[in-house]
Amino acid sequence: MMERTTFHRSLPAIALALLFAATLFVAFVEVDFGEPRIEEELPVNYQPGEEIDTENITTPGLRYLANSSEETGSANLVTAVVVNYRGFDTLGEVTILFLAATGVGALLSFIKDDDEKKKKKILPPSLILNKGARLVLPLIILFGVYVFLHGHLSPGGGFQGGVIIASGMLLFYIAEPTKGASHKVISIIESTAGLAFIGLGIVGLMTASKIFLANDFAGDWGEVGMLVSAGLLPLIYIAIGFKVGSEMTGLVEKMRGDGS
Amino acid sequence: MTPDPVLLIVIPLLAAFLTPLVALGSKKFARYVPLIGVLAMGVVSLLLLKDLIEVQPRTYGAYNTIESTTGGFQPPFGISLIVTPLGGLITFGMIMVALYVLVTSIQKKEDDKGPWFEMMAMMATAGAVGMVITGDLFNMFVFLEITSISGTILAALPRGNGEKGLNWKGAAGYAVISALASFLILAAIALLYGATSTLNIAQMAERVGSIDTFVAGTALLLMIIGFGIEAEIFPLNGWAPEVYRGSRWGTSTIFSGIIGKAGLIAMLKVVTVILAPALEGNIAMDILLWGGVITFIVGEAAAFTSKDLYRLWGFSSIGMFGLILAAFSLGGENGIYAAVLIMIGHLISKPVLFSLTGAMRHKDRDLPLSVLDGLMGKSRVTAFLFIGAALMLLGMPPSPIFWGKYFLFSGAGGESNWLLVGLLIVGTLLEAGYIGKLLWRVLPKKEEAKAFKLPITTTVMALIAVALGVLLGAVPGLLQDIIDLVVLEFGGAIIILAGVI
Repeated sequence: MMERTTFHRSLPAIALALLFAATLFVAFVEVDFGEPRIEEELPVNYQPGEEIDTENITTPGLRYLANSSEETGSANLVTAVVVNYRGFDTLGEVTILFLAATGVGALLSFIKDDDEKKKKKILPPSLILNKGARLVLPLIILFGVYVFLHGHLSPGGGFQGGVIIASGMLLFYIAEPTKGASHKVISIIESTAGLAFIGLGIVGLMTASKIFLANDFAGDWGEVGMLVSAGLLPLIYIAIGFKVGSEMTGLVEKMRGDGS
Repeated sequence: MTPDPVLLIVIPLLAAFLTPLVALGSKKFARYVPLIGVLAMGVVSLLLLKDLIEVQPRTYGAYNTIESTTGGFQPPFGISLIVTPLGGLITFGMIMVALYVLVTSIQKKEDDKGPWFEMMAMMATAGAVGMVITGDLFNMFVFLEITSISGTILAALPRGNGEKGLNWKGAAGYAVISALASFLILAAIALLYGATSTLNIAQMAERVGSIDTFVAGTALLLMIIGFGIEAEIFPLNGWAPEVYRGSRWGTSTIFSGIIGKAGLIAMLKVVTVILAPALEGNIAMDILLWGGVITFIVGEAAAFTSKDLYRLWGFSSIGMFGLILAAFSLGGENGIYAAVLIMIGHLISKPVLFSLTGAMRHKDRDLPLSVLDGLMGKSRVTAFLFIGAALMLLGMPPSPIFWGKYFLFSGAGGESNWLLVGLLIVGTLLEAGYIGKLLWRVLPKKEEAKAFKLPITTTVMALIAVALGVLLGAVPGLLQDIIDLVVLEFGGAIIILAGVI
C-alpha cells in the first residue's frame, strides 16, 4: 500500500522527466552533429589535409583540421586544440581539478580529528600483491611519463599521463598500506606545476604576439612529428602531467585518511 | 595604459596556486595571498572601467569594449575576453564585494586549518568574473565550474565562532543542484555548437538566426533553467536558504553578491545576445520578466515570514535577483537604469547587512530575529550601520535603489503595464514590512543589555560602504557615464540622469 502511494505521488515527476528527455532527444536528433557548415567555405577541389587560406575561413573547426600542424607544430590535432587554440579552457580545467582536490583536502581536515581516535587496523597485503606491485610500479610510472611527453605526437597528453601515474601510486598504496608519499612534497609539486603552466602562458604575453598562452615558438624548434617540436606545447603538457599526477595521488592519499 | 583583461583571470590563478605553497611556510601569512590577489584584480578592473568611460571614443549607437584574446589566435579561433560596459561595472562591483569579505574576515581566526576560505572566496570571484567577461560559450561553462566548485567548498566550511561542524546539508544540496545546472548548460552548449559549428558568442549570434526553432527553444529552456539555478530564480532556488542559513556570513555574501550575480549576467548575456534573435517575438524576454517578478514577490514574501535572520537576508537576496532580472527584461532605458542602480545598491548594502549579522551571530545553529532586540543599547555604531544599510536596501532616499525603483515604476507605468506595477508595489510593501519589523526590534533602548563590540575592520568597511551608498544615492549623476554605456550596450537611447533628478 505504501509503495503504491509513493508511486502515485511521483507520477507527475516521472511524466515531467519523460517529457524533458523526449524534448532533449528530439532536439539532439534535429542537430546534424559532425556535419558542420564546411561545404560552404571549402575551396573547390579541396583535398583532405591540404592547407587552406585562413582569410576565407570563419568556422574554427575547419581551420583546426586544415592548419593545426602548420600553426601549432603539433602532430596531434587534439593536443593542438586543447593546449593551443583553446589552451585557456585547459588552464581553467586544470584549475577546476586543483580546486576540487584542495577543497576535498580542506574539508577532510575538519572531520579528521574525530577519526584519529579510532585508529583503524590495517590488514597486510598478500605477498603476490606486494612483490608484484614493486615490479609493475616503475613501468606504470614510465608509461605515464611517456604518455605526457608524447602528447603532441600521439594520442594522450598531460591529463592521461598524470592519471596513469596516479593509478600506479594507488597500486603502491594498496601494496604498501603503511607507507606514503610526503603530503608536503605532493603539495609543492602540485603548486609548482600550476605556476609553471601560468608562467608558460605569460611567456606568450612577453614574446612577439603579446597574447596570453600564445605559442610563439611553434615552428622554431624541430619539425612536426619530432619529440622536440611544437614550441611550448610539450612543456605545458609536462606541467599538466606533473600537476594531475600529484593532484590525483594527493587525493588518493587524503581519502586514505592518514595523510599529514 | 589599458591592462589586458586576461589579467583578471591570471592574477587570481597565480595567487591560488601560490597559496598552498605559502601555507606550507606560514598558515597565517597564506591568508593574505588571496587578499593581495583580489586587491590586484580590483586595480585591474578599476583601470578597465576607467578606460571604458574615458579613453575610448564614444559614438552614438556603438558602445565601448576592451577585448583580448588567448592562445595566439584571433576570435573565433582563439578564446576571447570582452569587457563590455555592463561587464566592466559588474566585474568591479563583484571584486569590491570580495575585497569587503576578505578584509573584514581576515583577522578572525575562525579556523586554523589553512587559508581555504580566503582562497575559495577569491576563486569563486575569479570564476564569476570569467563568466561575465568571456566571449566564448564553452569558456563560460569552464568558469561556471570554477565558481560552483569553489561555492560548494565555501558552503561546506564551518561557520566558525566556536562551531566546528561542516554545513553538509547546504553544501551537498548546492553540489547536486549545481552539477545539474552544469549538465543542462553543457547540453545547451552542445546543441548550439552542433547547430552553428562555433563557440564564439559573437559568431554564434550571427549564425543562430538560421538554425531550427525547436533546437533554439530547447537551448533557451536549458540555459534559463541552468543559469536560473545559479541566479537563485524561483522555483529553482530551493537549495539557497540552507546555504544561507548554515554558512558563515562571508559565504552568504559571496553567494548573494558574486555567484548569483554572475549567474544572472550570464543568463542575460546568453539569452539577449544569442537566443533572442533566433526566436520569434519577445518570448525569451517575457519569460525572464515574469520569472523575475514572481521571484521578487516570492523572495520578499519568504523573507517577510522568515524567523531566522540569515535566511531572511538570503530570501531578500533572492527577491533582489528577481527584481534586477525583471528590470533588465523590461528593457528600454528606464529598465536598464533601474537594473543597474538596484544592482549597485544591492552590491553595497547586502555585504554590510551580512557582515553585521555575522558579527552578531552566536553559537546557536539558528539566528532568531530576537538577536536584534535592543541593538541600539548594545552598540550604537552597529545599530546605525544596520539601520543605514537596511533602509538603503529598501530604497529609502538617498539610496541608489530608490532611483532604481523610480525608473522601474516609470518604465512599467510608461508601458501601461499595470499588472507589473501592482506586483512591484506588493513586493515593495512586503520588503518594507520585514525591514520595518527588524527596525522595530533594533530601535528601543534597553540599557541593561550586554554591550556588544563590533570588530574594527567590520566597522571601517561597513562605514565606507554605507557612505558610498549614501553618496551614490544623493548624487546619482556620478553613475551617469557608465550607465549610459550600459544602455547603449542594450541598444537603447540615453536619458539624462541629472536632468530627471
